[in-house]
Amino acid sequence: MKTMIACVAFALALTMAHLAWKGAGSNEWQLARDENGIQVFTLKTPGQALLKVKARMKLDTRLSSAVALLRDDPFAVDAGKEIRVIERIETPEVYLSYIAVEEVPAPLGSRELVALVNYSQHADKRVEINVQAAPTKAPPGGTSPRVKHLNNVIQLSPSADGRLEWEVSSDVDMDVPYPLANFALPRELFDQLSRQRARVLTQKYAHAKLVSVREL
Amino acid sequence: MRVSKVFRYGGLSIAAIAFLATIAHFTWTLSGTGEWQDLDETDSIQIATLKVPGEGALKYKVRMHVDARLSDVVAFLSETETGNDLGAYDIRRLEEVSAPPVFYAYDTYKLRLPEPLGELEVVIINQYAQDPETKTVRVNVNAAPNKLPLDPGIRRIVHLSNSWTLTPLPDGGVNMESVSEMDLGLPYVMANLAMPSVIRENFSNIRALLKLDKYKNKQPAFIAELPERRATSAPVTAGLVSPE
Repeated sequence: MKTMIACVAFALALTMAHLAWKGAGSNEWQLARDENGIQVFTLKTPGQALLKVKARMKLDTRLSSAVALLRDDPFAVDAGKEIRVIERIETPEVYLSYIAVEEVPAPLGSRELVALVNYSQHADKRVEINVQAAPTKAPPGGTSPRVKHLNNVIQLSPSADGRLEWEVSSDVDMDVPYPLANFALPRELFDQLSRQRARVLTQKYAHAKLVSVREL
Repeated sequence: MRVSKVFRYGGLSIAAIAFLATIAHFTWTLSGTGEWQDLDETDSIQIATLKVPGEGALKYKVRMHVDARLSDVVAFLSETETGNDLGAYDIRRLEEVSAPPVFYAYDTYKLRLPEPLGELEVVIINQYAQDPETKTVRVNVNAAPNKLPLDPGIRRIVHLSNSWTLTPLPDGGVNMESVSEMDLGLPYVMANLAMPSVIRENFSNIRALLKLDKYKNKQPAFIAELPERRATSAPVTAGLVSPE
């Protein structure tokens, strides 16, 4: 009898905690980490359990270098992981590609990702890259569950002093319990920007030229 | 019966139901062949389902033939006015890029579903590409929930993916195939039961609407018909960039 009451009380407490967390939130970005030139923000929307995460940094690099890196590898996956380009269309006016990554690291195992990447350049030369999950673009068949909810937006804003502001807003559900995801996502985005900063400064991207990107 | 007995048996019953539901959930979630299985063919609308091990919700493939021009079908799918005839409202085009061979558009609209689902907001990207040889058109529709600032007062769909293949036939008409998956917020048991009839009704509507005059004689700038039925607009000549 006492065990039964304890179980019911525990389940009730969990339910209350879940409802309290889900209903909470200011719907405004809050600074969560500021380290090594990278700022990480989180946003809690009332009614949603998963946090949205945004990270920002400034770099001495060219716009084309950043776009060249991000358009084929928007997540800075490990060097050994293959990113397959399913389809790509590039003209001076437009860029659009579908990519597949078989094993994106995630809490409780890896995930398969099929995504649409497209970008446009604004009149002020700012580039906005949109990364959207496109799970029906490739037939099922991978060994890992496929990500169904992902919509990252990357803003690259060049300035006259030669610096580039690099901002990534991440909205992703890797299908893991939200307390674990909310703990891991800010750390993962911080690490992702750290890896991207290291890679974009390498010789491979330093002199990249793209027909679809114009420098300031 | 004493109160403590009622509490004990009630608690045991709830625990047993929760236990059985958990077992059923894991059994269902882990099941599946990962291959398409024919489900139903009614009124020449073929529906197949696919169950991926590890996922609760089914994916759907639908095939249907329509007696319409390819250009009319593409216009039907790409123009925002169509949404009014399919139950959507507050329809807006947020951004449109038409630079052959690419056409894509970000659209938003709202849907009112039966309670308890209520009102839903959809923000999507529609992307079209035509094979310059076969004239087959592929349409990819994917959720793009962050293209528009979030309105906390309405639920926005974050999981929606639909790939269409529109194949024009030399003797007329178009074979339509749609592979779709989405999460409208329903528990997967209810969604799996309800979706086949919802899909059948939607496709039946599409076929009926394409017979209306207002959806005929359209000519999207980015679409060319098969040679026998070629329209007068400039054909799309640029091809896809081959992946390395």
